Amino acid sequence: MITVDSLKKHAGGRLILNIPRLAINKGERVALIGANGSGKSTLLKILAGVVKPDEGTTTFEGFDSPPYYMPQRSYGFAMSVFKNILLSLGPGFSAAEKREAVEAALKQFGLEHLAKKRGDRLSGGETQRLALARLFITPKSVMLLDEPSSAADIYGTQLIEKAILGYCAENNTTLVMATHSPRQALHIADRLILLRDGEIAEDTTPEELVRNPQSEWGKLFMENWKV
Amino acid sequence: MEAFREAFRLIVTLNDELMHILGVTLKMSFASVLLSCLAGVPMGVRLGAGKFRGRSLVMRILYTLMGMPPVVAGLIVFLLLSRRGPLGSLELLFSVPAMVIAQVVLITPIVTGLTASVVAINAPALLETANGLRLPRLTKLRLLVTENRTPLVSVVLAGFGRAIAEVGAVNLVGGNIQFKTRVMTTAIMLETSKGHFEFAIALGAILILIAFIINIAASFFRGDSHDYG
Repeated sequence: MITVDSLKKHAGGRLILNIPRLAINKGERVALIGANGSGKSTLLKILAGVVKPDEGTTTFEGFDSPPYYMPQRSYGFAMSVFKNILLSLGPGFSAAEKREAVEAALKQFGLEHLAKKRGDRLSGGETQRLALARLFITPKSVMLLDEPSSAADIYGTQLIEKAILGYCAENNTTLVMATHSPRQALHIADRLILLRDGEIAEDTTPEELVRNPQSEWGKLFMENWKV
Repeated sequence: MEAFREAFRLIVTLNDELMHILGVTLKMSFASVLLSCLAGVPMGVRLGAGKFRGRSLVMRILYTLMGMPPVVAGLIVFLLLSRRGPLGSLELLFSVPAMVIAQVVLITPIVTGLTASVVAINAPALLETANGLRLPRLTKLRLLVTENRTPLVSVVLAGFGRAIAEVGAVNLVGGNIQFKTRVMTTAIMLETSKGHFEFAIALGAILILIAFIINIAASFFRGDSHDYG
């Protein structure tokens, strides 16, 4: 279980995240939704350990591996796409196993034709597919994704969503994902957390939020989402 | 015109003194750049990518040292190595190693400061991705260097440029001794003051040629314009 306790984060003298309590069960697929600046990315970064909170704690209990994180703007390293993926494969694999794993990841994310291209020369959508290929190459217990398909085209988005769903089902991965896409949130997540000004405005199932938002902000947000 | 003709003759006949000066210059420049890079690049990466208390103060001191006048660096090393200085027993004054030490004092802050500036540009995004992938510390350090290899080649070139063109410090600690510590810049100064323009022109031409060769080599090492076949 992921537990967030009394979490606070300030930036520029302003409180940008204030979450008294949040618990995410093992195997849950959570979508963080909300307007720009609502605190989605900050929460993910704190969970990933790349940003330290000013107050409060986050704990991960009962997971086989630490949380892995894909930032909103992933970095394609200046080496071939093949080597980019290979880089994330830890020790304990033979050369043949490595090759097989990388080739499978390339195929899964439609990157075979880009295998020799430099990672820093890819388009935004291709870089996101590369970032996911690097993460999905081995089973992981917790995955934190920040807008994983924001730069992808329709084909790329479908491919990414299918991969996320398949990966989580296969590995019983706990997913926390920020997204601006209503369709994606409803398609992938089994729990939606609506953030507003750094606080949780709604925490419910997709069906409940669509049919019966509890807060005024939830109603307004769902109207704008046009679901 | 006669001076240019004579300068050309000195070069093509591989004049003894000219070749010795060239040898000492290259030996001193390469050694000092190598040592400066060995010390400066890791420090620069740490400063550019790290967030720690006192970082801005360290950077300010570093930027001050980057602008240190060569004669001051020469004076410091001279005092350290002079007979009554703390390192006088090593008897290094007026030798090539003394010149290398002075150059290292001068160039290391430049390499460190420029490396820190280069690395600081992409370190946040690079480290966010690398940390998200849980890459080992050594891999992250390697990536910070390899991802910045193109600008880092320019940093090394800047260091080499400073080393090969420097006069004040090497003159102080080297003494400009013929067939021992005379390098191209100190020789040009001396020969010009004596009115031996042909020798100075020959040295100047070689200096420019070296700069050109180094630039060609650097563009080869950058290797930044292709995908991987």
